[in-house]
Amino acid sequence: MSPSRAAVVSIVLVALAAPMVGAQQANDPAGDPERGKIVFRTVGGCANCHGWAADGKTGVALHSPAGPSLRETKLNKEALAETIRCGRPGTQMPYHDRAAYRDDRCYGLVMSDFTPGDAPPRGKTFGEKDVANIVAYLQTRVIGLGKPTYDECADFFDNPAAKACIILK
Amino acid sequence: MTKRKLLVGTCAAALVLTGAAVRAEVTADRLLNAGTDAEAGNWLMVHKTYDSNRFSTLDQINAGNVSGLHLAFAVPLGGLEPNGGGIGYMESTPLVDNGFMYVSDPWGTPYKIDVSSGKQGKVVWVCDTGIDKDPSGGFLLTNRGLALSGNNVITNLPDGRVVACDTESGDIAWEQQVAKEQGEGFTGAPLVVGDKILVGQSYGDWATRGWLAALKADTGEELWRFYTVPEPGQPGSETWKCDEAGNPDCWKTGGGALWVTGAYDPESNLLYWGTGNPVPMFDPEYRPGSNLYTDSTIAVDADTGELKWHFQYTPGDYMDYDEVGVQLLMNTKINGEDRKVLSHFGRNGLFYSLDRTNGSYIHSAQYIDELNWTKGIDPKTGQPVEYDPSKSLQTYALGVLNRASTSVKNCPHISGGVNYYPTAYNPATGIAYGAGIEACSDLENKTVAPEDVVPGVVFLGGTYAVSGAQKGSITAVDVTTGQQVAKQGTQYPNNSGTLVTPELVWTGSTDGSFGAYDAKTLAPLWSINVGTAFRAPPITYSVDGKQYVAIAGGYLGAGNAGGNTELEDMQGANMVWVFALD
Repeated sequence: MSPSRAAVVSIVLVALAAPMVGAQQANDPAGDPERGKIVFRTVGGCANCHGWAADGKTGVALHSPAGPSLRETKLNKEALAETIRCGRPGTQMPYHDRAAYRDDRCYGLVMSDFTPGDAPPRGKTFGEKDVANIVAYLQTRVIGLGKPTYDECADFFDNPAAKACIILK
Repeated sequence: MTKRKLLVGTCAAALVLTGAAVRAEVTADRLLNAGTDAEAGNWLMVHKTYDSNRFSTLDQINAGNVSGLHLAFAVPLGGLEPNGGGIGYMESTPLVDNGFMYVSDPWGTPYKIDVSSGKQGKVVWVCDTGIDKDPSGGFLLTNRGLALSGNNVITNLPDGRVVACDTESGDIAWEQQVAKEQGEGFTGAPLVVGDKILVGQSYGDWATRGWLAALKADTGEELWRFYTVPEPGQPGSETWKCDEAGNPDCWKTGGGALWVTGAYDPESNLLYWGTGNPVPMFDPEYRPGSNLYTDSTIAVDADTGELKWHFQYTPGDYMDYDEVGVQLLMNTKINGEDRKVLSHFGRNGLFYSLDRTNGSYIHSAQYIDELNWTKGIDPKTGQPVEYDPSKSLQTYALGVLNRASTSVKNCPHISGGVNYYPTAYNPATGIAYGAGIEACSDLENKTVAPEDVVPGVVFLGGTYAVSGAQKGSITAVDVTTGQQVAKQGTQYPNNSGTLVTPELVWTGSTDGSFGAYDAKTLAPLWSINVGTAFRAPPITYSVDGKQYVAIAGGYLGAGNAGGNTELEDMQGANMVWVFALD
């Protein structure tokens, strides 16, 4: 790890460890978990790294880095939203606020703070409502779950005959 | 009969003959003779000839005039429906027979294209296999080509079926569900040998076991099958110490997949296939042992499926060094002696030559700039010097990767070196060509409990990241000495592979450019950027005496830009591009 990357990671880790009281919090709309599921599944392609089960294993694509298990995450609502908006520098978690790192809205960092190749990757663009929707999905239907089940899979894909689910039967 | 009538009669006879040639079925003899002058204008099987040389004698386009090459026409294909990780990858080698091209899209759907005019590629038919394009399927979506067999075009599909499409109509002549177990399927092109079709189970990283199967060419009925991971009690099973892991069934998900087409030597009747990595790739403690016959070349009798010999490149691998890539066959002199040789650009960064009659090691040399996983190769055995067959877990020079270790950096990158990207060999000059990646990766172990392993779900036992941005290279090796004779670095990683003609080497790049290089010096002589990432290899063919060069382009894919962020916004479009001189 390069020194600058180490510094960035430590900033992020400190930021993530503390409860987030960001400017966005007060304006957070109530999230819709069902819409959040669609964004996670279809809009964002989040399952490529986290898996459809969001356990960092089940449904991860071969060419995507396996992400952490969101079933076991300790992040609170604000930290989840911040991570979705800003990504997680030093890891391959992309940012989804298209304007992230243009100003200091994300961890006080801008793109030029990163050495080339270490900048966080850009993911699909989510509006603030969809950030809240994904957080609501994770908080009400993912975090705390155990081993993935067929029923969860069928619900995720809205399809009891989905290929990904048949193999769990 | 007047003279005029005689002439008309002659012309009519010529037309009939031409017509007959166009409709000529692809017999076993034609495939055996695919490298002869009679077939010089055609490309009848995925690697052109059974020796997998991807060498064409066509030389109308040469070093002196290639600067005048231009796009003749282009043909869009379908198959852009996404699956799991997104749009599939165009990795298909087009086949050409008498002015008709046969190419598959990432879902394995065959297309017949009339390229006889040289001005336009007209789609004659699309053979709809009825494959379920369910986007939840988590398999790697790609198809590396078709096979021509009699009057059929053969495709093998990610859903495990083998389908024969009638060459004239595009209707399905027969189909068989050959891969039947959960998670199994096909991505490599089938190979037709005599009255058989060879297919290789391709999805090892989805917690399955690799196998090579022979099918009856006229019905698809299975004749024999060879498993690349032996079951307990079979020879080689002693290299799977599953009991030590407390997981007696570890061999059942051991990988060793076959996802690139092998070679065939008619003289010995042996098939030579390269095999994939042991699974899970980053957790050797799940499957202690040397893990035969993963990361190997296997020589199998074409009639019986019996294993004749094997050579394992990276025993007890934890760096994902599959050796599925092309097996080049050649007869050449080694130390002044005529030898029957098999050469292979290893994904592990070394170029190897073996005696193909018995699998004995001849020589090897590093062809990639940075290699840290081994200090060298034992000149007698061909094994890495760190390899200790008495140990259940190997520790190579890069350091240990296990459940207690931190991340470890391996060079070359887990993707190579030369990966599935086909290599080439010019028998007239004795030079072999490979194109691939110059990079390293960082590996981490993430243990998965046996009860959580589900066939059909990706099972890596860890994770990886590119260590810095990937670059690429093209390398020329003299097989006689095993030494590199030319090298050309490239800005972006090469996922395309090579074609060689008498004076030129051809390849595409991930940035959408396609070019020709001097076969002696590898100096770039011509290139064009058409904007589709190239993960498929080029071919050349001729129609009515005129030479063309063709290549399929498509999607690069998230996570495949190799750290080159400027490539990440390239979009997918499945295309066949055809180039010609005026």
